[in-house]
Amino acid sequence: MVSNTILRYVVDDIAKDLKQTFKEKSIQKSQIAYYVMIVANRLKSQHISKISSGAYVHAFTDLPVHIEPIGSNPNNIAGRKRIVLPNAIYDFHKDGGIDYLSYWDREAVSVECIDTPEFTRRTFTRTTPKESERLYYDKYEKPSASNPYYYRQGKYLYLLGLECSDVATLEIGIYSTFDPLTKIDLDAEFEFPEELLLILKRQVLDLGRFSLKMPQDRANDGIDSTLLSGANDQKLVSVNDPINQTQQ
Amino acid sequence: MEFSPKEMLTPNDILSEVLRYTREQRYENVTKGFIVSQMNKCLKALSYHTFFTETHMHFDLNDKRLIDIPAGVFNIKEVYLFNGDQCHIGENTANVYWKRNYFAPTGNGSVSRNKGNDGSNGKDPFYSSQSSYSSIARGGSGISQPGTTLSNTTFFYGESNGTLMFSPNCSTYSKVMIKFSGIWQFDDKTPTIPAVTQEVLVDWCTEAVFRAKVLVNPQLFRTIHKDAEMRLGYKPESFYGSWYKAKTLLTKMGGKKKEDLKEYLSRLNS
Repeated sequence: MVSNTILRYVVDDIAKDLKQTFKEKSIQKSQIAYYVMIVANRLKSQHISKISSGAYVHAFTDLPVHIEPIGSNPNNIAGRKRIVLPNAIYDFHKDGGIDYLSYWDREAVSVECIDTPEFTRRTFTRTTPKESERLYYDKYEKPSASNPYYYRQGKYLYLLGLECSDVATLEIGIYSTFDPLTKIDLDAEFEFPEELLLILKRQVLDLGRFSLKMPQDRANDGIDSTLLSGANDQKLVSVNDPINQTQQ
Repeated sequence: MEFSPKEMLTPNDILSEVLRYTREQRYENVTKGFIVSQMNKCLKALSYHTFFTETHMHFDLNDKRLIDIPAGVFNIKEVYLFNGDQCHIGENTANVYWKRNYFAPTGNGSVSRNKGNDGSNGKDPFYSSQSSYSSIARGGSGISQPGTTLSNTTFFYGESNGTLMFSPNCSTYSKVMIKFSGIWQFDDKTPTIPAVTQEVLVDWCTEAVFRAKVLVNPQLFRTIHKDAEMRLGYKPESFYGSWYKAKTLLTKMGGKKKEDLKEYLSRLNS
């Protein structure tokens, strides 16, 4: 179940638990938000890879297909049809961060009530540049407009089979990561599994505890540091603790 | 026809089952084309074993009188020459016979190792001056005479390396109809798969997919693959698998049904 909270509540809650709500606090709210993001990305990726669910799929339509012109950057392959991933995605096995990729004629008369929905008719199959060589050996597997393939290279998805077609836009469903901190809206919906909020909170508290402890130990301010801060030196965690349970 | 064309299946009908059994809806380990290709392979194997399907095709006869045998067919059964758009066997057709050793890769050829001139075998019907058969057909006496002139009235062809080479006198006709054994090409949307082969196709494809997946995760798929292999019963062949059942059904298929099937599939070629 997707949580029905917002990021601000999670951050404020953790800040309160860490007692970092006063003016001269050691850990800024943005830093806690950052902690939450890195932990949430890990937990969410484990959750998605384990559970088949469309709860975290982000779909984008009208992604333009373009051909990169020849340039001086050797790391930028020119002359091949491709699209740019609309967002950063989880790097699952076999590009599982891409739920689907398809193209369809947006101007076609909708016949969804009696026929196959348009967007499911021409879905792309994932391949790699090396694996794609074999595809051309068999006439039934050969990439074509009716049997298209894609392969991923970085933020680009290159398309095979559309070389001779004029398909201009694609539709894609992806498992997006959380936005980078600079783009985060604390008041936006926090797309995170409700049942994992507890683990998220505990792991962020651990990060905060570590952060609170370290500065006092390392700073040479001439103060006797025999007595440590209020944070615990050590945190004993059972191997059976949910924190140590990988989701896979 | 003894069956409704609506009973024929498309590759997608088979896929819908195979993908479910193999959990390959996302085509993560095999592609859709791979499975469709396996269907074709299975039907080819059935065709080799049972000759259950025949198909006929029309060809235009070119100046050199050469025809390439299309992919997917084998075992030429009958060849007819005709003019016009329709081939009505017995009405507007001429029989074409296979002539061993007739070789004409450029259109002009000869018969290699002709046995007709040695005096011991003067019955080669493809030589007008020595053929007893062809002279009988022409109302002659049937007495063979030695000679080397190819017959003008007996049409024949040779075959080499996938090319059919027709005799010079065939050029009086513009078209050829050939009956083959063999398998058609699949099309996603055209129902061309006989329903009687549905089970064996599903099992064949399921086994093939699991065979590919065994390498991905031997521990998980080895046992499942063995199950699929037994269910199919192709290698090793068993009497209990769907392969044997399909082979039996196709072998025992009635002549009328075979004719209907041939007619239906051949129409797809035109």
